[in-house]
Amino acid sequence: MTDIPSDDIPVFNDYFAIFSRRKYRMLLVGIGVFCLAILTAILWPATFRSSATILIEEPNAADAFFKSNPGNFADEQLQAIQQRVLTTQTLITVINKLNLYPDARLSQPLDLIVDMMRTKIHMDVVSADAIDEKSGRAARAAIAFTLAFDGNSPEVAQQVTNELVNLYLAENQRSRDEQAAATAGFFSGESRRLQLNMQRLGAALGKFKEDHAGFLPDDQMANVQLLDRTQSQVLELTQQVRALRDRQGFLQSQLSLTDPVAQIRVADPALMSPDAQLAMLRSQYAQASARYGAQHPYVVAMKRQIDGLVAAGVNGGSSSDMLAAQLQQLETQRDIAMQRYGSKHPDVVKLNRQIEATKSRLNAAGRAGRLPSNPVYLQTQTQISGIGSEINAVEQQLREAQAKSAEIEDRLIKSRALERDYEALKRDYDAAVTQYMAVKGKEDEAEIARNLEAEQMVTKLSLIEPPLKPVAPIKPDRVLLLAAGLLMAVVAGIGLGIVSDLMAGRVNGARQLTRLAGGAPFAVVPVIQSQADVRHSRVTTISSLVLIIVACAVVLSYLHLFIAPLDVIWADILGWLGIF
Amino acid sequence: MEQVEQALRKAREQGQTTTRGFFRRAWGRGREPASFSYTQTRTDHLVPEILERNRVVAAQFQHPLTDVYRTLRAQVLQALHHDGKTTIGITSANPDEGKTLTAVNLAIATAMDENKTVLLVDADLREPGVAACLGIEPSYGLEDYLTGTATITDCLVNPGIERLAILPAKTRMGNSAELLASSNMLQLVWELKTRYPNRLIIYDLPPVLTISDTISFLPAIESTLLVVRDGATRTSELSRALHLLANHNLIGTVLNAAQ
Repeated sequence: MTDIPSDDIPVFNDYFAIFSRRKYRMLLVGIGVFCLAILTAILWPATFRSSATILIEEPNAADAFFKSNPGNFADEQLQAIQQRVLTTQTLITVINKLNLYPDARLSQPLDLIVDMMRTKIHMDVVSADAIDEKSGRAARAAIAFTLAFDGNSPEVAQQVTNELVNLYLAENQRSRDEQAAATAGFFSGESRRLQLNMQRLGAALGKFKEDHAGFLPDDQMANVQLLDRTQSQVLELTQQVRALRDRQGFLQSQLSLTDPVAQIRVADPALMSPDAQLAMLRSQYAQASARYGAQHPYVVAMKRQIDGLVAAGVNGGSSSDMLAAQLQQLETQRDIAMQRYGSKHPDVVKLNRQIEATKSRLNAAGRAGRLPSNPVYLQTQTQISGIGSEINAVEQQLREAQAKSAEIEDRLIKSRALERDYEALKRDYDAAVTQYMAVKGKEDEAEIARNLEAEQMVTKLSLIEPPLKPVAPIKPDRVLLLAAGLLMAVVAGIGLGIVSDLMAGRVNGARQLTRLAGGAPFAVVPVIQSQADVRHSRVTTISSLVLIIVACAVVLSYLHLFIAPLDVIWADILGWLGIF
Repeated sequence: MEQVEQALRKAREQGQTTTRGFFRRAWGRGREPASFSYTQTRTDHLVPEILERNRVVAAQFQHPLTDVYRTLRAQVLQALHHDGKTTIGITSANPDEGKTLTAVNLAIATAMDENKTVLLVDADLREPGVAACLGIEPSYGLEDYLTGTATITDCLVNPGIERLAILPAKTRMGNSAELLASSNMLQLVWELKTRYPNRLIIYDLPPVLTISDTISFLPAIESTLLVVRDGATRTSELSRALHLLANHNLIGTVLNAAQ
C-alpha cells in the first residue's frame, strides 16, 4: 500500500481510455481545426497558370563545322536567356504594359512586386536522352521547354505568358546574332593580330638569314661538302706544285748542262742562213778586229760584209747581241788604249764615251749581255720559264683554295654558335604560322556561321504551343486542402487530447490507481446519474440537435432565398473544388 | 428501498413516539448508554427524491449501484474485523472528490446489514456535507457539542433508517482544524468507540491535503479509507495523500466517479 510505483507509461488500453474520456474535447478541437481548414480553403485565392511550349530547333545544316556555338543548346543557355529576360527593367515594362498588380503597386515598391512576379514565372526544360557528339557519352539534350506564368485570373496568366514568350524568342534571336557576330569579330581580330606577329617574325627571320648568309645551320651540309671539296682541291694543287717543281729542277739542271750559245760548225757559210752568216761574221769580226786592229783590210772587208748583210735587212741576232758585241769590242779597244795612252788620253775618253753610249743603247735595247742562241738551251729555258709560270698559277690557286677552306671552317664554327638563335627564331615563326592558319580557318568558319545565322540555319527557338487561357485554377487544390484539414483535425484532436491528458496527470481508471496505490481499490464506483442528470443530459442533447437543425435550415433558406438557389450553389461548390 | 420507504411511512404515520421505539432497536439493541437519552434524539425524515438527487443510492435495492457499495461494505468490514477495529475515517486528497457521498452510502449500506449498527460522524467541520447530502436540517451540529453549547444527545439525528445514527455538522467553522484537534473531540472519539464496541463509527474527514490538522486527528481513528475521484485527482496528489496516510492504517482506496 505504501509503495508508490514510479513508472507511469501509458499502454494502448490507456490511450483508448483517454480517447473515451476526452472524446468531446477531441471532437471540439478537431471541429475547430477542420473549420480553420475550410476557411483556408475558401479564402485561399485561386491561381491560374497559362503555359506555352517552345521547341528548341536544331539547325538543318547542323554539323560540327556549321555549329555557331560549341556544345548544344543546353540548359545554361536557356538560363542565360531567362536571366536577361527576367531583368527588373523588362518585367517593369511588362507590368506597366499589361497593368498587372494594380492594387499591390499602390502600396508596395515596384522592386518587391517584380521579385514576387519572378517567382510566378516557371521554366521547365523537356529533355531527351541523346549522345554527345564530341565526347560520345550519353547526355541529356534539351529538346523543348515550357514557359508558364501563374496569375490571379486566366486572362492575366495568358497575357503575361504570351508576352514572356515573345521576349524569349526575341532575346534568343538577338543573343544568337550578337554571339555569331562577336565570334566572327573575335576571330578576325585575332587573325589580324597573328598575321602581324607572323609577318614580324618572318621579317626578323629574313633579316637574320641575310645577316648570316652562309653561316646558317641550313647551309651547314653544303658548307661541309664544300669544305671537303676545297680541301681535296688543296691537296691536289699541292701535289701539282710539287710535281712542277720537280720538273723545273730537272730542267734547270739540264739547262745548266747546256751551252746557251750554240757552237756554229758550218763548213760552208753559203749554206748558212744570212742571220747565221751575220752572226758568224760578227764574231769573226770581233776576233779579227781584236787581233788585227780595225784598219786591217781583212777586218775592213769583214766590216763591209757585215754592213752589207745588215743593209740587206739581215738581223744577225738581236740588236742587243750586236750592241753587246760592240760594247765588248769598244771595251777591249779602250783597255788597249788605256794601257797605251793612259786614261786621260782623248781616244780613251772617246772610247769611254762610246762605251757609255753603247751601254745606254744596250740598256735601251732591254738586254745586256749576250743572248743564248742554243736552241736546246732556249727550249729548255722556255720550258723552265713555262713551268715557273705554271707553278705560280697553281700556287695562286692553292692559296685561294686554302683561304676558302679556312673561310668555310670559320663559317661552320660560326653557324654552330648561331644555331640556337636561329632555331628559336624559326620555331617562333613556325608557331606563328601554325596559329595564324588555325585562327584563319576558324575565322572563315565563323564568317560562314554568321552568314548562316542570317539565314536562320542555326539552332533557334520556335513556339509550338501558344499560351492558352486556363480554364481551371492550378492552385489551391481545395479538395486536397480539405482532406489535409480533415487529417490535421483528427491528428490535432487526438494528439491534443492525449497530450492534455498526460499533461494533466490525473488518476485515470482503476488500473492506474492500483498501480499507484499498490493495491486494487475496494470499490470502483461509477458516475452515479440521478434522474435529474439523465433528464438534463437528454434535454441538452435534444435541444442541441434541434438547434443545429434549425440553424442549418435558417442558413440554407437564407442562401436559397437571398444568395442563389441551392442547386446552383452546390454546382458552384463542386466547381470550386475542382469536381465536375 | 422498501425498508426505507416502510420506515419512512411508519414514521410519518406514528410520529415521534414510534420513531423513538424504532431507534431504540437500532441504537445498540437495548443497551442504552447513560449519557445518551434516546427520547431526545431528533428524528428527521429522509426524502427519497432528495436522496436520489444527491446520489445516495445505497438504500435503493433496485439500483444497480447498490451492489457496489455492498461490495465496499464487505471489504471494509472484513479489513476492520481482521484487526478488531470499529472506527474508520473516510478522506480524500482534495475537496469534492466524493468522500461524503462514499461515507453516506457506506453508512447506509452497512446499516442494511442486520448485524451492524452504524454511526456516521461528519468531522469535516470546514465543509460539512453529510446533513445536506441526506437532506436533513439538524438543530445542532458537532461543532455545538465541541464548543459546549449542546450535548451529544442534542446533536444526534436519526435519519429514519434502522441501525443508523448521524452526528452531523451544521455550520462551517473557520477554526475547524483546532476543533478537530481539541481534547473534546478526542474524548468524544474515544467515548464513542469504547461505549459501543459493536458499532461501526464512520468519520467523514476533511481532505488530507487541504486541511493540515487532519493529520493530527488521524491517530485517534483506527483506520482510514481514501477516496479517489477518477480523472480528477492528480497522481501527484494521490501520491502525497498515500504518503501522509501510510502511517495511519490506510486500509484501502475507493475509485469514485469512474468513467
